[in-house]
Amino acid sequence: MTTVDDRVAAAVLGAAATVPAVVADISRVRDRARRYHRRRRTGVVALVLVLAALAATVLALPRRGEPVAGPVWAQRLLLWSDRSTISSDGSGVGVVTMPGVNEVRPDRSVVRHTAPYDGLVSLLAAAVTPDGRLVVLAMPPAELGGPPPAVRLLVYGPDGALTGSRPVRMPVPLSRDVPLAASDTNAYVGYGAEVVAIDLATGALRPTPVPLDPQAPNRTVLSAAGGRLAHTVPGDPCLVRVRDERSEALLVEVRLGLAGCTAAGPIRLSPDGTRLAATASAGDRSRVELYELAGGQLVGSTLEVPAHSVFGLAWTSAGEVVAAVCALPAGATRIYAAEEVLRLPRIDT
Amino acid sequence: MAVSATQVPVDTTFEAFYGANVDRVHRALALTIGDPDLARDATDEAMARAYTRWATVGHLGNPAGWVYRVGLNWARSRWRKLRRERPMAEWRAVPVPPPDADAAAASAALTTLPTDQRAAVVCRILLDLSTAETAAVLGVPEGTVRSRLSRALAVLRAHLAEEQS
Repeated sequence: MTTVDDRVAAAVLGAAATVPAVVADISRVRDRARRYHRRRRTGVVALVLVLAALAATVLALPRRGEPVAGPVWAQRLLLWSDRSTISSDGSGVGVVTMPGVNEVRPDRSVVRHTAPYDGLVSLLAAAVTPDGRLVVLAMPPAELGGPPPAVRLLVYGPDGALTGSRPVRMPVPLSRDVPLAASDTNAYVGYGAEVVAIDLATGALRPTPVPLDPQAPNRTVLSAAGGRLAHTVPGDPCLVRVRDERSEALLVEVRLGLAGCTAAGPIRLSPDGTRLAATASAGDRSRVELYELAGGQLVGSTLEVPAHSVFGLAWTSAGEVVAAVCALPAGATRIYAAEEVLRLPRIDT
Repeated sequence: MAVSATQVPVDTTFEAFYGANVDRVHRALALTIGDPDLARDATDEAMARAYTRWATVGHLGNPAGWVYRVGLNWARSRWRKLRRERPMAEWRAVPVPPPDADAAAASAALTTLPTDQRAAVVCRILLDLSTAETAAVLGVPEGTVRSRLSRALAVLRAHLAEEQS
């Protein structure tokens, strides 16, 4: 230990004695402590604000390859409830949509519409009209021993307000996830052996020349927009026919280009009905393809994703297509809600 | 024969600590930083911080050392700021004439020491801290304290010897 000799210590103490004495005043310390508190509190608040701003900025950043900013979506985007995929090997792995009408917003949030069928037992199908209304087919509860209840057709405006609710008399009960598309005037429903048109204003039914596969009626895929109705063909699932909505005349046939295609869907007509976005699946992959209906030609780029992972399509105002892709992550060992794994890649034309 | 120990109540309040240590800490800081006015400000600031967290500081082994260190750090940052804002001639304190020759020599010698060595001397002599406590207060290893102290004492002894001769 370093020894301090007395003379040095005394000299240092003497030097300290030359320092003018401080007047002890604890109130001065208390005042200063209050100011110190305020400074710290202000600093903490400022830090929290800065961190919140940073967090908001980071959260607002687009994921790589998926810019959020871009053209306005020209169509509302619903997630197909029948896209839910759970492996059949007992591993308990898959992607499911939650009960209700699941709508994806441009900010990647998923809005679940459950109010439309409050009090109704079962949601059968949902679609959006080109003008942004939500059309829902739902089944009310059956009375014990009574006749099967009528299916209800509900129409909700873009603001969510109910604008129409009417029973639709169908002799054969509809099953869940029936094919459904909606134009501004009609809902097209796969029913029995064919697709029927339901007038949104009157509820009147009329048959259409669009047939259904009696063995797998729910495999038919529909889309309506721009005065046209697009549908797949029974027995040839990768062939899409486009008809004039009013005359029901066949306008064009599009054969999806993916080699070995075994299934189509979802499909989506552009708002003006001149182009078609279609999903084709073969083996373990699916491909979203864009077609110019005037010549039936493939246009723009394509998007390849794992099979059956495309849960919905929507066109933007710039003519791009946004795909709702819900693919299992690598090494998945559980069931995911669709919104957990949702990506929204764009396909350019 | 039974021996009963008389317990002397120890006042552990901040007020008691303040009353007993404010002058000592102020003098230590003034000697270390060489500016009594800045030292007074630093003492107030450090005491205010001790007051706001007395529940913790009051249980430290050496609260005065803690206050000294906080005051020294505060003064250093304040010093740097003042030096940027004002020319040196304006902020340098005018030394008060010392009362005796040794004190004058020590005072003069202290001003020639680097601040780190001055702090070591002040901690050991004025605040009466051990080497380990000084090391803890200054945030340096004990070996560093020993070497700083050794060099500083050598300079002080030399000044005192010169004064005597």
